[in-house]
Amino acid sequence: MSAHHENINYFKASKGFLNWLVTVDHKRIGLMYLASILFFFIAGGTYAFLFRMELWSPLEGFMTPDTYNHLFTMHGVIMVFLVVVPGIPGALGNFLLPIQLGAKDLAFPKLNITSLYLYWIGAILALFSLTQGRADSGWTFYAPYSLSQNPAVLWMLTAAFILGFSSILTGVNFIVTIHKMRAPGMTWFRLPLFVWALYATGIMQVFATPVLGITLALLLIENFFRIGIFDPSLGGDPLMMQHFFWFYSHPAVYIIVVPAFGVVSELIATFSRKDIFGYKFIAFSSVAITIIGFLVWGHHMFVAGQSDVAVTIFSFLTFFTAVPSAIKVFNWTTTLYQGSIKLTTPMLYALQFLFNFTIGGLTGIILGILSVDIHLHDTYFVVSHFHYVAMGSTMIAFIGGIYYWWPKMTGRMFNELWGKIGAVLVFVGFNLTFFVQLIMGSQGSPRRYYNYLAEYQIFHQLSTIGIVILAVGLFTALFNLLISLKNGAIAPQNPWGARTLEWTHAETPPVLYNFTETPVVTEGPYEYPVEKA
Amino acid sequence: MEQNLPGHTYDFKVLLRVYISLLALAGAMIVVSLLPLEAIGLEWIDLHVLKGLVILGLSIAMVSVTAGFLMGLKYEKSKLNTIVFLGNFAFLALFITFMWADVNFRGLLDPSFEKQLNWESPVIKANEAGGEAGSHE
Amino acid sequence: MAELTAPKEHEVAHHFDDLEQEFESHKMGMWLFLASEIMMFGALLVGGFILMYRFPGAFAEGRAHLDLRLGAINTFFLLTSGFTMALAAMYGQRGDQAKVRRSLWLSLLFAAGFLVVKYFEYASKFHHGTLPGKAWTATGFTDPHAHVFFGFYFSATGLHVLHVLIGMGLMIWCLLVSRKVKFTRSYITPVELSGLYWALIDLVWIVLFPLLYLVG
Repeated sequence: MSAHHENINYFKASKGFLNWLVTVDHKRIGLMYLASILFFFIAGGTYAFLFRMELWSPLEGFMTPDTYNHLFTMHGVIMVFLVVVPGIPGALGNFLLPIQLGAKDLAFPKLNITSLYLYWIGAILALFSLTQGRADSGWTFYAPYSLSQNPAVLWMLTAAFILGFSSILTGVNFIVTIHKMRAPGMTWFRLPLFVWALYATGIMQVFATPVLGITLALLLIENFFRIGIFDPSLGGDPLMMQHFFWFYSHPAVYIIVVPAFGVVSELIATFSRKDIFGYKFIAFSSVAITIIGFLVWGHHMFVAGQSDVAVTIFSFLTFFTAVPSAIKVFNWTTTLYQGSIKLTTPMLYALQFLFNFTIGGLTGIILGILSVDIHLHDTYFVVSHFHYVAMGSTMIAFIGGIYYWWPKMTGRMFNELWGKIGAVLVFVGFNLTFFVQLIMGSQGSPRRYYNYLAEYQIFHQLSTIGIVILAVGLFTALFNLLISLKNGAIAPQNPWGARTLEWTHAETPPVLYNFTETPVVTEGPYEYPVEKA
Repeated sequence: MEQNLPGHTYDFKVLLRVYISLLALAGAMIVVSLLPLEAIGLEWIDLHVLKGLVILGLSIAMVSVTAGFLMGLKYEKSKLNTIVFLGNFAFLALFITFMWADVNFRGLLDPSFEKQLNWESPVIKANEAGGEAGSHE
Repeated sequence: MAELTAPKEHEVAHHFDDLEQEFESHKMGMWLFLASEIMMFGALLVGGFILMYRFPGAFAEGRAHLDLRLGAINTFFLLTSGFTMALAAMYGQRGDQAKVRRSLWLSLLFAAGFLVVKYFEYASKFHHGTLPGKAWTATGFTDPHAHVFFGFYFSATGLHVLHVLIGMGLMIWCLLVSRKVKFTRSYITPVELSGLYWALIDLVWIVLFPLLYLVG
């Protein structure tokens, strides 16, 4: 009876809403994360859409300055803590990691559902804060402004604290799973690069996130008890708060983008039908960026008042962050060379990732130059840089990954034409929105400003037009997927002809415990037959 | 067979010795901290710094003994958990080093930089307010 | 009290191949979780060391007002309960459910002792008015940053007390588990993991105690 039960696909294995809510099946948990994250992506995007409309005119538009501050705070908090940090690990990582390893589940299935519950609790608290006033401190919660006992800010701090635990527990789960649950023959250098990326991310989640935890806890303590650690009016040092905050938040940006690197490796290998060039370099570069990422947090604080010694050290170390990422971009590009390229929808996302990430990475290095950052800090140049990496790279890779693995997760094929249309609109819309911001910022236009000088209006208007196109593209991409659930063709086991275990050994959609028999691995993840020219 | 059993076998004598050595190290820490430095009066070395280093050393010894024997790191076949444990201290060392590089060198080029803003210390305020209301015991 | 049902043998979870893989996985998972706790407390203590570096006078003055005897007693309580937790694991391996429970109760007792001493220390601070920020009413302190020392003191010891309570919760959980599952040489996972967590609480105190009460 149980053998038969195990060979049913995971959708049918148990029925009913409640069985989804209390599941410990990593695949169902992954889908619930996916739904939640897409919901908050739309919410966070709506906030951005609203303030971009306000910024159409240089002076007053249709909202007050206070509302504007609240909107960009909510946009930041939601996007960082509820979308991009949990994003790829929660939605794709949860679903795929055990299958790519040849395992039946993650090491700690109950801890996994706990992570999801914590995500939901943090999300509910963040939404609850909307009823308690307006959080307007920016997602960075700098002291002393965040010490003014704004109830909405206090609820946000609590929400972020709980979300941190969700992230830490996911990291613990992934690291142990990768060490302990690999199928026979799955050696470290046969792991898919997505797994290497999740491993590096897990290390950062475990070691960096707790420092955010203590930062938020101290902010709450300072708000209530005024101990005098961050509050200058009590002898505290606001800069110390920034050190604490960025010690997490710099590695956090790598928690955000490294899983995207993993997805891109998978997409490029599959749709070039070629072994990844420099597998070991890409694998180790993820570990390298993990370590280097902990050394550079002060580059967010170049003009905050640090000593000259500290800023010099941080600027110098920041240059090293270019190396692992550059190695990756070169290797992906070289993989394309003489590959048998198929321009499917997921591949279109992978290719625009290469374009966007190059801009994002280079602008990051520009900002790392101490003397240059003095002029660019707190301008639209910074805003554009991080949107190029967090949206143009991370989210684009995320969407590409959702498209790529959609057949495996749902058993349905999406409409390829509409998929491509969405991908092109997203590319055009995104770049229009944010490229002009690079120009604006380099000319000195400050960020987070409600009013701006008339000479920048053309850039703001182009940017606002861009977000409209981007929104159309994103909704096209989304509806295409949703419609496929009902109208899409039934997917074969391996529609892309890929070589990783989820495609070669698991059914579409997978059975309850992923495999009918434990796979035995005898070759690497990207060993495509070499085709003669 | 012993080697196929999970984990290592706890031994009472070892645990007892570990416990006693931890008590001894803690006691030593307290004794060192109470030493009257003026009585020793060495001039060629800063005794306060030395005292701090000795206490730090004793602290590290206690942490190592606890992690190694009570938490079992010494007996583990794989060094992974040890690497994770030591990795913590590497990250924390990084954190304190770079923060110190900031805090220690502020105002290097511009001495007026470190001038404190006008702030009111609650300690001074309480002294002024409650001077005649009796002091703490 | 009569046992309602005898404790059962532990069954390996279905997604693990064998007991060894399950135990090593759980242990590794706990070490990684401890890593996150060490980073959290460690960051706080790093903040404390930086504060001590910037305001040595405040720390010296603050320390002089802490009762070293109470700190020493608390150190003794924590080290002893760490020892009894390790004994619980040892007896578990020997299959002696009764002695496991006795060791757990002893650990709880010493942990409770720690909390009692803490209560007296906190009460004394309330009495003297060495409280954070606006609640500060103590007189006779000369260093303007003295309140920062006490603010740090409350934050660090408060967070530590919270974890002591969690650790005690784990001990109670082990007591409950010991009624349902048989401990053997091959299976002591709940006690092992709880012992690791409790040892972490010890580790934090080993660094916190000198920072707050010693070094001068």
